[in-house]
Amino acid sequence: MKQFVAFIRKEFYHIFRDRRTTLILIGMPITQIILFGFAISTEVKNVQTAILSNSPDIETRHVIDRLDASEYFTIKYIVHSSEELNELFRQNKIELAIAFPDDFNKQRLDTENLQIIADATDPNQAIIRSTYANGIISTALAELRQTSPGEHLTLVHSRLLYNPRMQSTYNFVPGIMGLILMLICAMMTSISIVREKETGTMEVLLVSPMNALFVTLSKAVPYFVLSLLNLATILLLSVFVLKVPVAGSLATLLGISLLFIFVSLALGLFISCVTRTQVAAMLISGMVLMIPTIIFSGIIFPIESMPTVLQGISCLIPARWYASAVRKVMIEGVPFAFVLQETGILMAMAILLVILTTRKFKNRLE
Amino acid sequence: MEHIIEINHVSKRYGKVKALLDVTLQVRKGEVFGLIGPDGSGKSTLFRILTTLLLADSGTATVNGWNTAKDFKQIRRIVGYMPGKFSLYQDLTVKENLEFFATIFHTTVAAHYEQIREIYEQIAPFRDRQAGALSGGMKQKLALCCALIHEPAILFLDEPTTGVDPVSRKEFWEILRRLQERGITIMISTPFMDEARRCDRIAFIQNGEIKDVDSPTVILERFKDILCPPPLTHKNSLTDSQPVIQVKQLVKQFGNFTAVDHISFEVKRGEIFGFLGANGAGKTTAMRILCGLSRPTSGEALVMGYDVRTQSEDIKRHIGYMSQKFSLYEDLSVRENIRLFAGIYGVPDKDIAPRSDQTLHRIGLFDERDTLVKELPLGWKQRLAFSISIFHEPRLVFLDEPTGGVDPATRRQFWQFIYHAADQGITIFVTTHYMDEAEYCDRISIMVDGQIKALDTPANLKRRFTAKDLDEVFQQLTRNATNLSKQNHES
Amino acid sequence: MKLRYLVEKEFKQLKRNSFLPRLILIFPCMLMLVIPWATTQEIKDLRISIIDNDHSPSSQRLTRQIAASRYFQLKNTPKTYSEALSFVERDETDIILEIPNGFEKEQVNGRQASVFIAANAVNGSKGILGNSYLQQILSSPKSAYSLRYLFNPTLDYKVFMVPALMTMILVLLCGFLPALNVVSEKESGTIEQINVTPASRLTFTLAKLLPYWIIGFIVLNLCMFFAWLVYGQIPEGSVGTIYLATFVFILLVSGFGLVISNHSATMQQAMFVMWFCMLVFILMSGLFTPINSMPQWAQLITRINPLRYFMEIMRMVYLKGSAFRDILPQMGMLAVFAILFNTWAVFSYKKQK
Repeated sequence: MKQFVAFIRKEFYHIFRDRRTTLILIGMPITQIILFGFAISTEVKNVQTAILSNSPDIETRHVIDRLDASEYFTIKYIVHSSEELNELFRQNKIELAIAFPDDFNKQRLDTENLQIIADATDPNQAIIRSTYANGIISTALAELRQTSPGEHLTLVHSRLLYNPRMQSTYNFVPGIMGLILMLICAMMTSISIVREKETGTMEVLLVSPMNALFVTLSKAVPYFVLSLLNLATILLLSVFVLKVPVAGSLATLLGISLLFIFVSLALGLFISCVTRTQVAAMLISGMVLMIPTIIFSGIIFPIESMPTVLQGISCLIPARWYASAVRKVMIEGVPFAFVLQETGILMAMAILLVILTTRKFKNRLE
Repeated sequence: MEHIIEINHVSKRYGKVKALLDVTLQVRKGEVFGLIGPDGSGKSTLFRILTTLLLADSGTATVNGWNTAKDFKQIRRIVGYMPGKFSLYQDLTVKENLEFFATIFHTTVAAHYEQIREIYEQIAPFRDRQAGALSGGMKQKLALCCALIHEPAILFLDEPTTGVDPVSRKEFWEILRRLQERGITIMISTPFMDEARRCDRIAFIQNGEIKDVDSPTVILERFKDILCPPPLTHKNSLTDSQPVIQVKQLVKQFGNFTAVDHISFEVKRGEIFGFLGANGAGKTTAMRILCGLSRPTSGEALVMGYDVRTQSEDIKRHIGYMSQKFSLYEDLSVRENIRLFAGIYGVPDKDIAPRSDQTLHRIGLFDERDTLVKELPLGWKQRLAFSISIFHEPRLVFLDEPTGGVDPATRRQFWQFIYHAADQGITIFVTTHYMDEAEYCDRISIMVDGQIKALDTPANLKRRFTAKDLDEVFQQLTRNATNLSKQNHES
Repeated sequence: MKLRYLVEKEFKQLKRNSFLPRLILIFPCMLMLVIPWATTQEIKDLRISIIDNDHSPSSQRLTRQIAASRYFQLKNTPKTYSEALSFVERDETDIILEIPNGFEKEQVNGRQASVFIAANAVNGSKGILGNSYLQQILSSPKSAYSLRYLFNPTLDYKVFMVPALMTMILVLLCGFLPALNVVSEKESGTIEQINVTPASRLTFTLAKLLPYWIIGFIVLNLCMFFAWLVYGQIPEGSVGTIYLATFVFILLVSGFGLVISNHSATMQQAMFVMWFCMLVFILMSGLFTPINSMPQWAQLITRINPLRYFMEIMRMVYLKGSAFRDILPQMGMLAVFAILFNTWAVFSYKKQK
């Protein structure tokens, strides 16, 4: 027991003496939550818009005012030729343009020749922006014609479930949790074990009376503590700063998180068993763990829209299952029964990794 | 007598390289057994097999009756081991390192403090400093403390004293004696022949084979070509009075610690100047200042007429330097390393190839010209590093412990190259812990606690201290200082 | 002159390394082949549940129309809203369309018919896009506007990702590798031997960077080749402009990598600091989300993010065919950052302590 405590103390010294890394470890979740929560969003806002119009009449003015008044669009330029418009698009100065026909008012507000031109380099934004512009223009025109807007249209009442204010906040929190826990438990643990191999201290530890597996396990404990700390940080930040409530049971959420932490630690130990240099451990955890975790945990990219082959690959990534379970429990608030599949898969991964690690674990040097 | 270690026909190979070849050996309970042999002869492999870290390809080995292949758990419980490259935790302090190693060996620092007291007291003033910030020799002393803090039945020590000064080595051996009195068996390898003489029996190992096992006197006599080569003689005729290094009242402080304390000396052209001192006395720091790697806190130093403070780049152009930590590019071949450094020092391109062939012939590495440096034995690497440091024909070359960890014959060969360079008028500034090498110098200085305590020719020094060899001079000077500084600490 | 020998050395070491040359070639290939497919935010096959309370020919027509659309996949037709909601909870369906009783009658009577849509918006863009698509279908026959999608008429998301991906690959290879390289010389102690030679700071730094500049160009061409081979994409603008911008950008990131390595003692530290900075840079570069959607303070931050400018240049030249004079402001910023980081790199490398 005394040996165990000494080991953990030593490991904490290692972690905290490297100030920069510590700062990053503790700062990473905070920065990410702030960036994702407040800076990054796909909401349509301040779309830089240009108007192509050669007839400065009241009707055109009215439509332009309506567009400018909405929070979605900012009218930046009013130009008179399509060449100018193209120029603006090429210089990245506008994202959307509305081209009014020359004699807009004389055509009795006929919309036949009205054109919405969207920069479709980002296709999703282009679709949403043009849908919004469409909506605003038709309302504006209806006001001019003083008729009801949807004479022939179907009125759509829409409702966004679970995330009524359309904040992207809700979506990334589970992914971030997966990413950070993976980073600390798998990457840090594996590097710190391999470092002892590389510097030669492992040789002494192996010959010491302590059991070798025990030595390795006790190296994982501080990272376990650190990851709990980060988990708490993320949850507190998301509840109190982002106002994302934990809709489901907190106990279930913590249980699943513990299971995932266990899987990540096992993964870290496994990597440390099969690599011999820090660089190799770093690159393996970087390339094989971090990049797939970012891509496949649904932080930014929906898994459903990936090709089947990649969806298949994503099934191998533990963070994918964890993020999916957290999304369900934390945001949708469904009971435990709905995340049985995810729990089962994580459990199976944990068992498999433990078996592999014990197989690969070496009591001697190579 | 009872055999505590039995090795029967053990062989081990790494790929194509044969590390051990049919080794058979017995070590008696309670003896100090020395393993002596050139670098790369298989000593470390043998240690690793006995400490259960490696499996032998064939043959069996038992430690205390337990088989190293099967009963590794039992063996690990009773042995202590200090690997050749004993690595401390650089970011832990001296005290934390010691406590950590004590704990994993199921003991406490307090329980065995007496055992390590002599050595530990020398590093105790730095006990709250991180190990990474200690000088090379200090690290080695701390490593010794960490290895000796527990009391195993058998202690395996793989070249534990490389880079350690003579005084501390003596103290280290006194500790080993006391451990032996308590019935502990010790197996040790060492490149120092004075240490080999202190063993009960030694084995001479070469190219993975045990050549002979006997008492030190017999073995040292039988293999004297390698182990006790005749001393070199050298007549220096080129020395004139023109100084190439002038140092006046040089001081270097790190925080409130004074590493170099008002030293003044001159080195004359063509001289071989030995710069001696205990670990942590400030040798490496002073040398780094002279090479333009570090700025002095105060005082003056001129190297080749250039001021170290303002003209460090000019100095670098005119000197050669070979550092303590071997630092050629391991993943480049012999010739590529020469070409790189020759190029950096501005040797004309057309001269590089013919001159490097010439150099390689002279140092006997021509056949290895396309071998990667990492595959060379340590002695050859050192020879290469030295040749590279004088390839651009500097007037002055700094050598920082150039021969650490190699056998006497290899060291002697190395000094022949040094003499060759000196004969061509190159001034040599060298640090070393081997007292036989100190005898080879024209003049030596002995540094203690940041100050130069003695500076003269070896012969004059011996006369002044009425000592039979330089080792004794060194012991007298540094022991006094240690006692003095101890008193200062206590008062 | 000294530079030549040092550069020679870097290439020899690179060649000897068993791992790096492979990484340099395989890594971009892998990313170019996999990431565009994985990162596509194109919402295809949204799973929809339709509750048809009307059971009329026009409601059935609408259902068929939706099922035939490439955006939707008709999953089931539950009887009640609560039943549909339970499908959403079990993650079997993404969006619910409820057609009320009397849908057809309203339309026949010339009054406005209404429907109800509920989308699972846990994934924000999925919810909003599903909503948009559905609205487009519901109003499409009567829409009078003409809509033009410029630069990417087929609305292919991969087209959007490929140029940006090249930026990321360049950052990973030309930023991380020099950083790790210098720190490894520190760890092995060879840097000390170089420090006592007359090689100047500038020479040493240049020698470290030059190989990675060349590698950067090789990798860029490799990426452009893959973009053409796999995604049929060729730059709309001039290749010369891309080369010029890439040159400045490579200068910039490699300089940044060196700054980090000069300030780090261990590889682990360098790696972590680099990783952290790059994560922030990439997220704030507009790679995945539009910069205009960010709040004001965040938009200000993106102005000091060099990645943002290069990302813009790549997309502008590659997709919109912007000419050199169109990207002048971005080029200017890149140049300023390149000079800043490289000067910093030269000065933070200390030969003397």
